[in-house]
Amino acid sequence: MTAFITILGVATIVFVLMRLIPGGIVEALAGPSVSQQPELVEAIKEKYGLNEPLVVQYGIWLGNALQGDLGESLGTGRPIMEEILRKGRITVELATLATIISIVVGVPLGMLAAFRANSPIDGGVRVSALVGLSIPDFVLGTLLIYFVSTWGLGLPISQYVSWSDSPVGHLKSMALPTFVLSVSITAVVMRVIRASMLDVRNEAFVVTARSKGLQERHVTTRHVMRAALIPTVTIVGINLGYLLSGAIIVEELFSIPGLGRYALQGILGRDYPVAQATVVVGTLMFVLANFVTDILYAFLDPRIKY
Amino acid sequence: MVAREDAGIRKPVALEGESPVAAPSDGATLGRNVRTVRRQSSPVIRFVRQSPIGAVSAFFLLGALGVALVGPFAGVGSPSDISPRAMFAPPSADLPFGADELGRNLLARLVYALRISFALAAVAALMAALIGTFLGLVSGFAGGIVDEIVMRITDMLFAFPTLLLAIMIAAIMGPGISGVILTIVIATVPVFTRVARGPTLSVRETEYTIAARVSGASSGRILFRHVLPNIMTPLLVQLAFTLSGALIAEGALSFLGLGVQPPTPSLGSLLSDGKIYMELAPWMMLVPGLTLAASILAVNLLGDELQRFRDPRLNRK
Repeated sequence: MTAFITILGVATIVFVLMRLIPGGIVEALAGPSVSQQPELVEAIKEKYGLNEPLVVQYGIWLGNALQGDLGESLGTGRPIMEEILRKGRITVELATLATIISIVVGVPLGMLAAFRANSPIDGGVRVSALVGLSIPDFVLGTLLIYFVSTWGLGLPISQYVSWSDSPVGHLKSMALPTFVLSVSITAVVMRVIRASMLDVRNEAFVVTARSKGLQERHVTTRHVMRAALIPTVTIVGINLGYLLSGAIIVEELFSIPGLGRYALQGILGRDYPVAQATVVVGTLMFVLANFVTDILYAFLDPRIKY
Repeated sequence: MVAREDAGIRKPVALEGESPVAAPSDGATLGRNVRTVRRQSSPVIRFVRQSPIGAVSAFFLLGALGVALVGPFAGVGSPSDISPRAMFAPPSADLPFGADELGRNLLARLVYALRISFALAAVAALMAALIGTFLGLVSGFAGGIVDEIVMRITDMLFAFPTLLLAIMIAAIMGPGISGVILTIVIATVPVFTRVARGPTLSVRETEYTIAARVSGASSGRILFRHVLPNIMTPLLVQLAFTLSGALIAEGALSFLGLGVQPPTPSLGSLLSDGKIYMELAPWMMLVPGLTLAASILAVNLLGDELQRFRDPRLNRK
C-alpha cells in the first residue's frame, strides 16, 4: 500500500516537474520559427492532447498507464511500452552483470577482511573499498576510455553491439560499462559484509553455538555467515534498484541504448510521455527490488515474520 | 552555557572512546591508547595518532582548500586568458598542467574550479544538513500525523531515481550553479531526515529527556539542547559523505552539460571539456578527473576514520 502511494507520488511529481521545464515539446518539434506558424502549433497541441487542462491530461495519462498503456513518444511516435521493454532488457542485463560481479568479488573480500579484522589485509580491503566508492562513474569511465583507446586493448568504445548481431561483440561492448557500474557497488558490498560479520560474531546465538561445542568452522559457516548475509541481501537489493535507474551516466558515456539514456533523452527533449514513463518504471523497479529483498529477508532470518 | 551543557551530555561518549577495551587488540595501538587516555591530549592529536590515514586525508583536504582560497592571489595566472600560441600545450615548467583548447592555463583553471566545486558542495551539503536535520528532529519528536507526512514524502524522494530528479530540476532551473545547489539539496534532504529521525525516536524516550520535560523544558529546548547533541555523530559522518556526494553530483551534472556552464571552470565542467580532446591533450581530462577523485576519496576516508574514531564499537573484535 505504501509502495503504491510512493509510486503514485512519484508519478505526480514527474508529471508536474516535466510541465515546469521551460520550452515545450511544441518548440522542440516545430523548430524555432514556431511563433510564426500558429496553425502548426495548434495542430501539434491538438494531436497530442496538450490543449486539455493539465488535470485532465494527468487523469488521462494516469488512467492509461494503469492499464499498461504508456502512450507514444512525442518525438519518434513509437509506442513507449515497446521501447521500454526493448531498452529495459539492456539495462537489466547491465545491472544484473554488475550485481553478479559485486557479489562474486565483494562477498569473499568482505569476509576475508572481517576474519582478519584490523590486519593489513583488512586495511587494504577497507581502503580499496573506499577508493572504489570514491571514483565517480564518469571519471572512472572517462579514464578507462582513454587508457583502452591509447593502449588498444581491443575493446570497442561507445559502440553498442546487440546480442543477435554478434554474441562475442555484444559481450565485448558490455565489458567496460559493466565494469564501471560494478566498481562502486562491489565496494559497498565489501563494506557491508565486513561490518555485519563483525557485528554478528559476538551475538548471543553465536556464543551459544560455540559454547555447545560446535566446531569453529561450523559456527562460522552456519551461524555467522548466514546472519551476516541478511544485511548484504538488503544492500544488493538496493544496489539493483539503484542500478536499474542509475545507469544513466554509464549508458550515456558508452552509448548504450538502455533505459537510462532513453529517460535522459526524454527529459532533455521535453518528450513528456517518455520522461514520465521512464521515471515511473525506474521507481517501480526500485520499489520491486525492495519488495523482493523484504521477502528474501524473511526467508533468511526466521525471526522476521510478515 | 551552551558549551557546558554540550560537554556534559557528550561526556559518556567520549569516555567510551577512550576505553582501552575499544582499542584494537594489536599491542602497540593498545599501549598508545592507554597512554593517550592518561595524558588527556586534545582530540585532534588523538585522532592523528590513532588514524594516520585520516590525518593524511585531512591534510590533503586542507591543502586543497588552501589552494582554492589562496591560489588566485598567489600568481597562478588568469583562468580565462586566451593564448592561441599555447593551444593544447602539454605540461611544462611554465604551464604545470598544460593548457586547453583555447590555450588557457589549466593550473589557473583548476585552482578556480576547486574554489567553485568546493564552495558549491559545501553550501549544498550544509543547506541539506540543516533542513534535513530539522525535519527529522521535528518529525521524530512530534510523531503522529506530522511524522507520517514527512516520512511519506521522504520515501517518495528516496524512490525517485536521484539522477533523473536532478536532471529534471536542472532542466527547470536552467543549467547553472544555483540549479546544481538546489538539486543536491532536494536529493539529500531525505537522507538527513532519516538519519536524524531514527535516533530522535529513541532519545525521546530516554530518562534524561523525560527528566528535562518533567522539569519544565519546552519542546524546542529539549530538541536542541538534549536531543540534537546526542545525534551529532551520525549527522557529522553523514555530512562528510554528503560533501563527497555533492562533489560527485556537481561533476555528474556538469558532465552531462546541466551543471556549471563554460567558461566558468568547475571540476566537472573541466572534465567534460577534457573528454572531448582526450586524444589530443589527455592532461585536460586527467588533471580535473584525478583531482576530483582524490578530493572525494579524501572526504570519504576522513568521514570513515572519524566514524571509527567516534564510535569505537566498529573496531571491537
